[in-house]
Amino acid sequence: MKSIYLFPNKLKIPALVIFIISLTLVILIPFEIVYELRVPVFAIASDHFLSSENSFYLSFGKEDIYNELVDLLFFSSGIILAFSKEKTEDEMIGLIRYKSITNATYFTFTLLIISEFLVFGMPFVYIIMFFYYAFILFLNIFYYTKLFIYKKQFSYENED
Amino acid sequence: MKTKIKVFRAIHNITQAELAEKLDVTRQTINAIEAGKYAPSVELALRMSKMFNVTVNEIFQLDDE
Repeated sequence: MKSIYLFPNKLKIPALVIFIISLTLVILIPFEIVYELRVPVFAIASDHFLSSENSFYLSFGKEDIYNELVDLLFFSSGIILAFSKEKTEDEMIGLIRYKSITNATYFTFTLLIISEFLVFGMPFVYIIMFFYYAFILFLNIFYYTKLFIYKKQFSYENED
Repeated sequence: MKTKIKVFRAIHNITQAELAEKLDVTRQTINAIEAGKYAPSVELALRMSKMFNVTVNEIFQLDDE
């Protein structure tokens, strides 16, 4: 039976290292601890709030791509971490992964719906920013927690 | 679902780890199936029955059977 594509197991450790580094950099962004990387880029749209004189559409212009690089590292490493094969990949682990995606979806969107009714105005921008990164983070937390519990729970041979 | 994997393992004198290796699954998965915590796929059940040289029905039964 044809199964879904999963990344090779050897990518798991490099992905974990990059994920931890990029998560740290993502956490530092709201505290303005960032580097400026202004390079020429092609953009479909570049229009910054309160500085429309530097706007450009469907053309080249200079932009700070630090956040984009951090996001690229965070999302790609997060996806590889969650969707890379275990040493022995079997159907039970596939089920754990499927359950983790379901739980992460329920959890993320329940929190988002609650936030919709509790946070109004500008602070909601921070909520959106949080949920932008939250799903992939929750997915990995749920998956590795469930995997740990599964390995722990069934690690000893039952000889009753 | 009830399972007699443990019985067939004893008949064939193989451990959970050896069975897991032959079926290309983790030992934890075999343990979970034996404990009745996980129902295997049709494919895994068929591979198991082929390995023990018995029918799937002999290894797995529904609780009310």
